[in-house]
Formats: sequence, C-alpha cells, structure tokens
Amino acid sequence: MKGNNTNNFDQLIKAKLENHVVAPPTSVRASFISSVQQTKAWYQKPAYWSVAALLLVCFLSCYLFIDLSPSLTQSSSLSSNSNKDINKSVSTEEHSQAISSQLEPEKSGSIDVKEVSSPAISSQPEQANSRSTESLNEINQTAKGSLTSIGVVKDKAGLVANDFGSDETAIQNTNKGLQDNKNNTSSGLITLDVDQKSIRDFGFNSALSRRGKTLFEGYTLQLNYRKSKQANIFKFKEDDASRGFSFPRNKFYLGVSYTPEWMFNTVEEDKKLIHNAALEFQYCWNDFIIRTGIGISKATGTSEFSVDYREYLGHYTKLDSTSYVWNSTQEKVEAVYHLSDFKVFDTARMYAQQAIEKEYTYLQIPLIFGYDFYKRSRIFLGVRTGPILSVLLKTTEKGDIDPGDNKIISINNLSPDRVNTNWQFTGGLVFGYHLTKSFRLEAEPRLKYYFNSVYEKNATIRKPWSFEARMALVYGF
Amino acid sequence: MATDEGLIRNCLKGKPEALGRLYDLYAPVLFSLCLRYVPQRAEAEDLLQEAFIRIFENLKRFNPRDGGSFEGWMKRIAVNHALNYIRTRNRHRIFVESDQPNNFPDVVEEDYNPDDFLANLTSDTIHQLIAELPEGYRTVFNLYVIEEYSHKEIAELIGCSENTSKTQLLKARNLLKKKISELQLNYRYER
Repeated sequence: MKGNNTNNFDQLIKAKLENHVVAPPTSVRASFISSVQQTKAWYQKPAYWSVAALLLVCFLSCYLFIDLSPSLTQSSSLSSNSNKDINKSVSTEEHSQAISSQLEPEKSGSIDVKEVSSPAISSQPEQANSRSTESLNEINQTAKGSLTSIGVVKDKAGLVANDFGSDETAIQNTNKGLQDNKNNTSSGLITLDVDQKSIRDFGFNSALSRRGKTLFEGYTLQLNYRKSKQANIFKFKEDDASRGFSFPRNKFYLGVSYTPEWMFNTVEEDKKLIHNAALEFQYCWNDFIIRTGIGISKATGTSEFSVDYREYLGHYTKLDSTSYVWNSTQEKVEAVYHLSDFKVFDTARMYAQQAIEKEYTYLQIPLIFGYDFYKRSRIFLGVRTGPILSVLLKTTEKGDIDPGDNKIISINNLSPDRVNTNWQFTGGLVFGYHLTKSFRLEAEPRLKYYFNSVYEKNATIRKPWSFEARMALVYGF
Repeated sequence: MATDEGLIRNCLKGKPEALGRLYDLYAPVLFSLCLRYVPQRAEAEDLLQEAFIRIFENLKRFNPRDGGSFEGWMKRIAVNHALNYIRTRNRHRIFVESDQPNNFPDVVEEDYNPDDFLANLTSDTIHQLIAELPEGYRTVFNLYVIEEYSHKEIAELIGCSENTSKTQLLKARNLLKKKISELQLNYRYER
C-alpha cells in the first residue's frame, strides 16, 4: 500500500511538472543568439589561420635562412653545374670524348687538367699509360696546389669530379688508385680503383658496388647536390669551429624571457593581451632540455557591477534648536539657530551598470620539456611542451564606483571573479640562435590550453586557449 | 519530428530566425527544468543560456533515428549541464545532506495521503515546493521522479552510493509531503 502511495505521489508530481513552463526573460534569448552567431567553425576563425600562417612563415624563414645562405647557394650551384657537365660528358657511347672533354679546364670549372687524349691512349697503350700517369700526377699536384675541394672518382664508365671539401685523403687515395691501375688500361679507357670510402656519399657507392652496378647508373644529380651541400655544411661548421664556436652539450642555462599572449574564449573579448615575464633555469642534456623558472603574468579585465541606488533630488535645512546669547558689545540678546542639512532622495530604486578595470597578477611556474631536432651552425630548432601552474597573487582595481550624490543601496558584481589557481598546458616550436658560446636568443611561438576556466563562475562554455610568442635571452654556464 | 529536423538543419546553417525559433519553442520548458535544479533565477538564466549553447554545439550529433525525441535529448543536455554547474559551484561535488538525526524531516504518517490535495495544486506551487527542498534532496528527487533515472545512474551522476541516493529520495519525498500537508492545513485554516 505504501509503495502504491509513493508511486501515485511520484506520478502525480511528474504529471504536474511534465508540462510546466516558465517564460525566461527576453535578454537571455538575445544573448544566446548573439553568442551562437559568434561561435564559428574553427576554419572560419581568423585566429587559427593567423597562427598557421605565422608558423609557416617561421618554418620557411628558417629553412630559407639555412638552405639558401650565400655560401651554400654559391657552392651548390657550382658543384651542381660541374657535376652536370661531368655526368653529361660520360655517356657510355662516347667514353673517350667524354674523358677529354671532361678534363678540359674551362668545362670542369674547378679542375685544372691540361692534357689527356683518349685516342692516344687507345692506339698506344704503353705510351698512353705513361702519359696518363703523368697527366694524372699533374692533376694531383694541381689539386693539391690550387684547389681546396676536389675529389676524383673513376669508375669503369668514366670520370667524375666532385666538390667534397678539402679532403687530403681523397686526393691521396685517388693518386694511389691511379698508380695501382696504370696497367689496367684497356680498350681506350682508364680504369681507376679509387677508395670509395674517402667520399662522403652516404654509403651509396658501396651499396651500388655490392649490387654489381656502376656508380653512374645509380647516381643522380640529387645525390651530388646532397654531397656538395653536406660538404658546405662541414665547411660552415669548420668555419665556426675555427672561430671558436661549437654547440655546447650538457649545460645549465639562466635566462630572461618576455612572452606576449593572446587569450581566446574569455569573457572580456577586448582584453586578450596578457604580458608574461619570467626568469628561467634550463638544463640541456645533449638534445634534450628541461626548463623551469618563475614568472609574473599581468592580465587585465573589466568587472561589471549592478548598482541599486536612490537618486539625489536636493537637500533642505532643518532647524534643530534655537538658543539665545547676550551680545555685550551691542548690548542685546541674539538668537543662535542650530541647523541640520538633510539630503532628499527619490523613493524609487534606480538601477545602473558600471564597469571597473581590474588588473590580475599571477605567479607562474612552468615545467617545460624539450627536444632539439635540428642543430646546424649556430641555429637550432626544437619542440617544447609542458604544464604551467598559475597562482593569482593580486587583483588591483583601477578606479572606483562613483555614485555622485546618489545613495547606493546595493552593489552586485555581475562579472565572474577569477580563480586563484589554474593549470595550463603549452606546446610549441623553438627557434634559437647562438650569439656567442654562452649567449643565445630563443623565439618560441606556442599554443596554450587552459585545463580549467580562469573564472570562478562557469562563465564561458569553452575552456580558454591562447597563442603566445616567447622571446628569451639565455646565458649558458 | 520532421519540423524538428528542418529546424535543426536551419540552425546548423546558422540562420538567426531558426535559432530564435528553437529558443522560443523550447526555452520555457528548459527554463522550468533549470529552475528545478537551480532555484536562483539569475543563475538559472545563465544556466539556460549555456545549456542552449551546448545544445547548439552538439546539434550535429543528434540523430532522430536513434529513437529519442529532440526535446528529451535537449533535456538530458540541460540536466547534465545543471549537474555540472552545481558540482562546480560546490567545489566539484554535489552536496548531499549528511545523515545527522536533526536533519531528518518529520516522519509523515503512513496513512496520510496528500494525493487528493496534490491533484488540486497548481504546477507552479509544486515547482515552488520542490525549489524549497535542500539541494541534495532536490537533485535526487528531480532526477528520480521527473527525469526517471535509476538510483544507479543517479549515483554515478552525482558521485554518491546507490543507498545514499535512495535515502535522499526518501527524505525528499517525506519533506515534500510534509510541506504539502502544511500547505493543506493552512488552506483549511484560511477557509
């Protein structure tokens, strides 16, 4: 019976409330529609495109800066041209012409070779041997004397000159190969056994020889380009090394940074910019880094208040009492009136909204982990990611509610206050440049996601996120 | 249902008139729901707006072929959002009244049956009576009686045990009956 009663009771309540409606105020409708219209798909938001464009520009700048620096461009084109000529010249059907044309100084561009003629070699092998030895010795001497970067590779199909940096060993090996093979000349071709390890070719030569293929079958311009590029990088590094610079390995760093931050999904749409400054400690272990520190963050916001007041209408003076005193000079009694001033306010309660600027100061403690995936010369690129703890230290109000002569009845804060603690997660790319061995500059565009809202009241549906650009000057010990 | 589908399509296109229509159709029902969970009117208004934004954000996921009604789906979102709101406001937990003896409402006589009087009460009055219940009682009562969640689901939603949910419901029911009987006595007295 009791169960039935309970069920009936529940059913009656449910039936009563099922179709119960309460009309909400019209202001909610307007704010809903406006906030929905502001909610656009991610690809419709210019912020995303701005961030993507910025990252793209950063990437391209670094790539172009590294790959198209003048020394590299010049060397690469030179090497590439000479290789083009050489490859062109060593087509299998025109071996003899290829050798002679290749060894012409003006075509090879960087090889000073005077006389090698294949017809002579093919018609008179003995003589050719001696002449070729002389000529090749001459090549060797010329290479030692005038060229800083020459390597000679001879395979069965032809001869190639490459720009590999000032590699003395390559020249010596070439010479050795020439000496050993001076008797192997046959069918008008010079066969040279060059120690291929002397060439920094990513193991292509040995791989090709294992498969029984000649070097020229597999070699392309691209590989030559890579070789020359790498050779220039070595040269670049050697230049830096000669100037006393090399990438430090395990080091402690101390740095100062400034990070402007643009925050989105906040209540104050016009107060996006936040200023962050920090003192940072970094430890680098090979390519890995860990960074922490202490920072101050300054954010601004607007707090809206609703003020209930009664309007000031005027004032009147009320006579409280009258006293009489004797004026001895004039010898008469004088009246002294004791008055009070009273303000008059309207009985109707008025309502007004007022905004006050607020400044929030946060203490920030980051713990950032990183990896440098690219180090070349003085430049490095890497990724950085990690959590940041923010603690609200101080809230400063700029200004005050000024009621004038009106009488304030109550003040209610309409805007949500900020929470004391929040966690963020940040991730981004770092672009660094070593000014000296100890000092370096870092630029770090990154995105930050807030794990919880910065407001006490759940004022916005979406969690805030921000884009920031960290700039730091770092000193290494 | 066809009307709802058309409305949803237009809302997804971002047409303001469709958004307005959606709001006009369902805002009174959802506002009543919000007020049942959060009786403070200003907070309920915020809750309603946020619930509508959440509904809009999830409109793509609503599939009428899943069998549920659009209104029911919207109500579930609003209820979940209301519970989240209460949880956030109360520092991540929904306050459930402790089992202190002085917190027990007076036991209502078993043979007391307020149904007849209840049937004559307006829905506004019942709404008001529910709003006067303590937060924990009110939340469990709403979830169980109006939204028809099971005790297990309620326990998961508000983070308490099933037994606590049952106890809260019992207490809520008794307190509500007591309030109705008091109202009935006052009514008789006035007559």
